[in-house]
Amino acid sequence: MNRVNKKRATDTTEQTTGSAEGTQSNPGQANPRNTRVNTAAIPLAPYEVEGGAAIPLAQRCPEKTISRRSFVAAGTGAAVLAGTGCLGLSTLHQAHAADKAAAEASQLPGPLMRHSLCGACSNQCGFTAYIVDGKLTKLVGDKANPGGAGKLCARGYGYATIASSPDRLTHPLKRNLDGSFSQITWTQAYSEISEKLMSLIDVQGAEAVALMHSLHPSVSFYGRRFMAALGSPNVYAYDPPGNLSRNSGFAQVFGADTFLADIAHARLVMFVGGDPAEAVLPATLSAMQSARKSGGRIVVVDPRLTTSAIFADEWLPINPGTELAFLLSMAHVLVRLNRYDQDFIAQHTVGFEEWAEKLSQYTPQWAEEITGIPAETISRLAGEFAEKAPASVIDSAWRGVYGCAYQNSGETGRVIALFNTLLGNWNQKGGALLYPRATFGQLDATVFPVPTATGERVGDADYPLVWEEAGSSAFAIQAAREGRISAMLFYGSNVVAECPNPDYLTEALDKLDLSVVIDVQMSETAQLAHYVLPDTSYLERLEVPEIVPGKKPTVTLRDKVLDTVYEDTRPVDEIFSELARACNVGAYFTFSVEELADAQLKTVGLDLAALQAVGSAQYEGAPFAYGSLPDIATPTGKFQFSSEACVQAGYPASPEWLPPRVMPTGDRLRLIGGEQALCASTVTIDNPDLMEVIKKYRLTYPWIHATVAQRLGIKDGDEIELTSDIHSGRTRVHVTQAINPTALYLPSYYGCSVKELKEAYNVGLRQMDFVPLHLEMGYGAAMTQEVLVTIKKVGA
Amino acid sequence: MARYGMLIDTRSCVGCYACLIACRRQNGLSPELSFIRFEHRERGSYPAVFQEVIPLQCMQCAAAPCVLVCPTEASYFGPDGLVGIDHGKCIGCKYCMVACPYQLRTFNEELGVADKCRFCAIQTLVGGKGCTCVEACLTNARVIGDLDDPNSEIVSLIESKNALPIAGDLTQANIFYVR
Amino acid sequence: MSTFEPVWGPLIAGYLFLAGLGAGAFVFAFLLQKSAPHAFKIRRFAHILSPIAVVCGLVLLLIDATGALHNPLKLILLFSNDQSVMTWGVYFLIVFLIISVTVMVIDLKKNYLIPRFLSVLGVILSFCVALYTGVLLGVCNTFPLWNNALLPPFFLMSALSAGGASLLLYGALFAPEELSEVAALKKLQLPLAVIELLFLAALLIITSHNSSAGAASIAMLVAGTWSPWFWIGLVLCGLLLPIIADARSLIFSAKAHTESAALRYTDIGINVLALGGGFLLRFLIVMAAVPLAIAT
Repeated sequence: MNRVNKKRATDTTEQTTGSAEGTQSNPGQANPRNTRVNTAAIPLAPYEVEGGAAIPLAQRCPEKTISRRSFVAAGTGAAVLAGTGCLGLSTLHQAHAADKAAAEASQLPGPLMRHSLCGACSNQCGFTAYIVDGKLTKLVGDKANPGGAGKLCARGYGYATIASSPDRLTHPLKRNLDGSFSQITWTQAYSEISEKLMSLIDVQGAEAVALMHSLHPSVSFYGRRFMAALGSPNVYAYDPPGNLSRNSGFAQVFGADTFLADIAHARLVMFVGGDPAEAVLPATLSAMQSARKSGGRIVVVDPRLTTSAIFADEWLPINPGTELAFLLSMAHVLVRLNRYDQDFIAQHTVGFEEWAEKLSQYTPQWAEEITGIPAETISRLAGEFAEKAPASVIDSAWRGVYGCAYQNSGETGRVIALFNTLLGNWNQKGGALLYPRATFGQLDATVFPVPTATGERVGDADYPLVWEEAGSSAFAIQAAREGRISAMLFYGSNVVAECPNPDYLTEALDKLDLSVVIDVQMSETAQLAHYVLPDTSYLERLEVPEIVPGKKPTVTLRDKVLDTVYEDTRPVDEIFSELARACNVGAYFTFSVEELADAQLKTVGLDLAALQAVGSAQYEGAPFAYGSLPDIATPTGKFQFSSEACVQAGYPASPEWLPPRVMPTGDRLRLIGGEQALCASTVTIDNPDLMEVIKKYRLTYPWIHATVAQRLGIKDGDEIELTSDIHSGRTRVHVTQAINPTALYLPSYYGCSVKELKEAYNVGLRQMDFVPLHLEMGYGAAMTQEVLVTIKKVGA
Repeated sequence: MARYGMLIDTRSCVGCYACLIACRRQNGLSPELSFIRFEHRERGSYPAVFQEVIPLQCMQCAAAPCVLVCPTEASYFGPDGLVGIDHGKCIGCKYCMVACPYQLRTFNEELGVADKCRFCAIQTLVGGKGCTCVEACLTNARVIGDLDDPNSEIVSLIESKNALPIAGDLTQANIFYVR
Repeated sequence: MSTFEPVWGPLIAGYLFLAGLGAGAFVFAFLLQKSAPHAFKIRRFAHILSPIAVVCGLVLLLIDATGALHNPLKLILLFSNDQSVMTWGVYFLIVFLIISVTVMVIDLKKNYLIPRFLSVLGVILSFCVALYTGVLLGVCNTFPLWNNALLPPFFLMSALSAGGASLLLYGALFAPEELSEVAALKKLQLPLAVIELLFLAALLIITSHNSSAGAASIAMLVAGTWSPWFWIGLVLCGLLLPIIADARSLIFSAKAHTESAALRYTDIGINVLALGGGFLLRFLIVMAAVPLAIAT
């Protein structure tokens, strides 16, 4: 599989296989695709005005018949009457029987149930959709889905209205000279785009063409295949600035992009940044609760008190950007006291001696100065880790504070992996788990011929440590500005609003000879494109299946839940196949997505119909067992305390203290960002349900510490002006005790500047406006928190 | 006859709003309607800070002021300990909204009537786990059940966790909070 | 963080005010029957005003109650709940309307002899209506600004004062010749306004000591969002200026009022202010009420 392994591997052994509604998950047995259910078994929302009105209300609420009828007669209308008049449960038992009778009498079809994957973020939780009269009436999380574990978050419920959103892109658009767009036909779009692509490739070679795509299953297959067919190696997996440093740093230690902390069984787990309640990871949250129940301790290291810290025993409000110093000194304590797993290190690692020697300088006292965390706390925690090892672990922290934040983030990733190595907790119960790699088998090359692109992706030479399956999106944009890339295709990657310095990015995109954006709604990036192609929403298309590694691997599937709402929109597989045909490489796209999905699934003993019936299914892949390690895909085949590649990229062989690029002083605070439960990227912000809550609870407000506020004469709710070297903006502010005084927290993805997105337009500030674009040496990440800001009260 | 109640463990609530948005989606409510309101509390001082989120929704009070003040009997005590609003009777005078000590009623502009959490009663009937908010809660901080059934999960949890109504015996509320 | 937005606003304040005004006017009409038997015009105006003011108030209530606009037949249900203060109010208002309309019709037929039992019954109901406007808010036990025994008598005093002011305003505008006849009514305005001021002071002091929500309500009035309206609108224009003017006018004879244009215009102005103060009082009480925090 030529695909980014972006899904967080998840522990699935404790989850029963089966859908939320108890459908048996038996992959071998082909169930009918659209499980139609008797109305009687379907919970009708008490107020279901549209769907439910078909059933006589009087029958629903026998006790209330008289008063209701009288009001119907009085012309109140059924809508008003479909109320809680019938709240009582015992009443409802009668009503239930009446419903059933009525449904049978009128032969009303029950809701259609279909399984699919959420599209609100890249965690892609599985759910069952209930559809009545072609409308989505209800979503229920699928328990068999490893990431969602039977739950959906607020975004998942809210974003489900995207299919019928009035703010969607509905037709292919071509940009005019004055920046406005004109509607064109798909035929025109394909022919003009392909013509331009072909002529650019003729002149500059396929290396001048690039694709940046968000992490959805189908585009990862079709988009990459399309680029390979054109002969271009330039594919960049785009995740709103997320885990690039972390993944790349991890890869230097153990050759894979991430591991899974066995939180549920850990006796001590530490989160260094990352909040599973804000970058919502239902399975992780559930594991945190399990850990607590069984007496495990949880420590949160974050400049801001995270929401999931409610489950933590300790919050260490570290000075942002100094996590590396904290971790180095913890490692120092383990090594100094000889409290590390010497057998494991002897057998499975290289370079320990060199690092151990370096560590001697990183005493807890040294770290206290830098991090603000007391030396005794550091010593105590390190001791506790050693005592509880191997059932103690530092979590991999999805988009944690070291995801791609500072110039030391890649190195921080290395040290986290190395600290776990000192504990010898790899694949130990309660430790750090590396699941066996799980992929689909080879497809029949006569039906699915494989195109190959030669050459090196632009940026890989400049940033040799970059996680190879992702590539440096930020560098691709720089390359566009420098003219090394002259045509770019974007699939749902709103890089202009989500990467540092939108002004710079805008300039870079303006330099492109051809830019095409495929998306569901207009975006900051799409506004700059020459062509904008309307995608179907995640609810309106079948995608290729995906494998989530685990104790047993699980296959998940995004299925078509609703019929296409806007006729002129097309699914991603169709767009790339048709574009390929227009570019004369259609030979690689002679199959339908159904055929492809079915063929992929057959390689793991499943088929499409069977998977559609259950949504998520486990299969027998490479076995996982506690105590056994998979192959370590580093050059040495071992866990690497020292890395030759790092030396080549200009880093020390084993990690050392590297201060952030800038450090807060006085009233210059570090601007830190983050996801929120209601806003994980710009994808979901244009949503009336979510925006109402965001505004009501002031979720766009930045946080500052109470002492800072007092010093500057700022009160909670005051309007402030926020200024960095490159940008300035006004907002109201939240004053709190729950943040490190050297930090200012601004939720990352507000401040939408697209007028067409009526809900989101101009709400809040955009973090990236304030951040200059510099790339992390070697790792190529965007360093989103290397910026200082000052604030002052407006009018003061 | 049952007496339905809910337990909300604020020590497990991460304030993610999933219950609120799920409630809207599954009950087909417009974005202007919220049956759940959140109160946020911050205690202590840096670095020993504690943040508490308290989700509030119609408490299904046994001594409900809304029912008492409603001039048209649109607000009523239904069976099974639930407080209902008959939209066919409601004239939208908002007296109940003013009288609710917790301010947990909201105005449904579309229908011109008062509205509130319905405890998703019908779902419970057909064998669902109960309220949408209970099902949706990411951290299972909510439990719904029969307060009159001494063997129910909710009764034993209320006892073991010493859960109390948010305002003592003010209205004999049927939602119990662990704080 | 808790942001409370008042459920009720100016419409309900208007309803409370107009119901009180109508009741107050009726009471004064009754008083004038004895004390100013020849002030026909003013008395007739009072008889016309009382039902009309109450009806206007009810219209405001209905505009606020959008559910009723969807289906007016629902209003029959207003009589359903005998425990609801609003239901009592509806009964009071209906009976009051029946009596006051009857009285109005009798008066309009140039029959100056209003049956005594009708007048007395009407006065009793006037008191009920005026007190009800305070009780309506008073039973909402989470609002310290409302939930106290001062509010109903306070609203009653204000209702009487507003009723009196409306009659005096009419007199000054359209029946100056009768003004000397109604001097007794005019003399009542001063003590009413002083009592109101005392009630207001008591309400402020007691409520601010009641609870933090009570203190927050009072703070909103005297130093917060509503303070300009409170000090300039209600205290100065609505109460102090009328008190000063009423006190001053005691010095001049009633005859002087009839003859001096300046005094007449002052009268007009003062009564307009007093009426404005009456509305502002309800409005501020409705808007500034902060509920007891539900969770601390």
